Amino acid sequence: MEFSSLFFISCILPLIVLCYYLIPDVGRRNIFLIAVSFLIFGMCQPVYIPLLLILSRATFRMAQKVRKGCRGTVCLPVAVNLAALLMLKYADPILVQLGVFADKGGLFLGLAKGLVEWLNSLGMTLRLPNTLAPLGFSFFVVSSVSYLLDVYRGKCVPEKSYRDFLLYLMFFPKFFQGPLVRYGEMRGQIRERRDNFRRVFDGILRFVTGLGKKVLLADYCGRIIAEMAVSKSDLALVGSWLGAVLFLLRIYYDFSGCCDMAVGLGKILGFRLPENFNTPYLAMSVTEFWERWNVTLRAFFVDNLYDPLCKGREGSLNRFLALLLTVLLYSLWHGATFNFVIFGLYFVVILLIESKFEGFITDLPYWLRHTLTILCLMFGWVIFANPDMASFANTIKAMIGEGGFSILGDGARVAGSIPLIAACWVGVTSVPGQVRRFWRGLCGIGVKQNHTEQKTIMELVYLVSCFGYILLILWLCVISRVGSPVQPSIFMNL
Amino acid sequence: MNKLNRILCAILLARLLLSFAWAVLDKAPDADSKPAITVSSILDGSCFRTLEENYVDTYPNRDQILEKFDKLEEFYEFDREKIK
Repeated sequence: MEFSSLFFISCILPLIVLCYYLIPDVGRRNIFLIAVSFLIFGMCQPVYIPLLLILSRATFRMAQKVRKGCRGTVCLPVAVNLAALLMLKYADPILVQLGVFADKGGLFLGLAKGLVEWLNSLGMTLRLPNTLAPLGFSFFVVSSVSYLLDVYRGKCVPEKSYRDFLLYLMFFPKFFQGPLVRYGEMRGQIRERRDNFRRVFDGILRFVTGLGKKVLLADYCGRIIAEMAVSKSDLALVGSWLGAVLFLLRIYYDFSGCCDMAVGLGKILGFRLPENFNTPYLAMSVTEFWERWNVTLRAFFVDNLYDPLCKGREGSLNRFLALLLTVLLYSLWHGATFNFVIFGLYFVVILLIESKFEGFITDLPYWLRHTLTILCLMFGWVIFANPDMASFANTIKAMIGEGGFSILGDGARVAGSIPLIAACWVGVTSVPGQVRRFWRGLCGIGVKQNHTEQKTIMELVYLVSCFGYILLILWLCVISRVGSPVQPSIFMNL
Repeated sequence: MNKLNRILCAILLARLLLSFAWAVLDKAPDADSKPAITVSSILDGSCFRTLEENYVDTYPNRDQILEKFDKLEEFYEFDREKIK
């Protein structure tokens, strides 16, 4: 479900918050949150609820038998989870690419379609699914595997309460698009939370900021890209570069906006979810970029794959193989199409070049390093955005000028997109953070000083200004949502 | 200040709930069809999508909001026809 939809903002969210704060104790609030999470998931794909319940129950039961440091006890539950992910998300696309069951869209999708047709013959009118994997299934499986491996490493003890474990897995703010939360980070919060209305207000502020990023920036970039995709046949030099820049901005605002909304929702409901982005486009190298982008998922792959693969194995070849496997699996996590293999290999090459020529790159001027990083990322996102090799080749050809240099149509598009690109570009810098810190500092927020009348007035000014900001962004988002339909997030189908 | 935070949160919540109540109670001129809720539509998720679309289509003061939306579009993009 899209948190940026008008129905969610003006109906579901206020009702959830109202009911949540009417419930007096944490235990019943947790039950309510589980019910709400299933309800929100069920609004999109109710047929998958039994699967999630069975898989979560199996993981919970098997985790009880996992012993610290005993590899044999953790292999089975991890394998069960990964097998479910492989079967539902990856098997069919791989089979189709190999030409097996290609006419049916794959083996499992073919079986599902057969089942739907049989049910329809009994009088139902169900739609055929386009894909088998439930929404947010990758995050669901990765959260389960993360919990199992944390139990195996002794970072947390097996959970005794299935209810608490289910809330950890299904908690709706982070279920669909992350951030990925370690069980240890959430466990204490599930058991004990205190109402803090300052945090609730901060949560609303954060949610609305994410909403603005998604609705007012990412979706507008997406609309221009969609317009350009319609006229892709005459893609020329300027247009292709414009598309690449817009996609670079869109993917950041889309994903970080959704994560901001998740963190904000978490705060509103009394949870502290981890940050997932740290101004990634300010990175001075691609290596640094990946340390700032989707931080929680990167940490999962580094802790559970890269580090164990490197541990006890010296030598550059071993490190290279570990890097190759980690980056490939990380990129394939985004989808099962061939472009994600290329995407992974491309970044492995870049990371190796950066590692090999680290001294030379560090000596380059600041502006050149930053420009090179952005260009590398732009090409990476071009690979990400083109699922088939033909469209990727067309885009690259256009970017190097083979599609012609005509700017007649594209010129208008470029000029038309300048305000949006400028606004987006300011947003990816440290300017918004600095403005926020300056304003907080000016109002004395977070500064330890004696309680004075002046401080109270400044805090009041700060709160009122935040309230005005929330109302303004909400108003603009409502106008945008009434005028244009919800654009599904890029990472929604993971 | 915690009290003020509480009041502001309550105002926001009330504002959102009121807009929802208004949308439900105030029947817009083109709101002549309600989404059909069937077992099949619930199972394949289309029921909620239709409900969501219906909610946007029947949003109160939709025409005035759409006028504002056109102005917002102008802010984002220069008039392409004029540029051409």
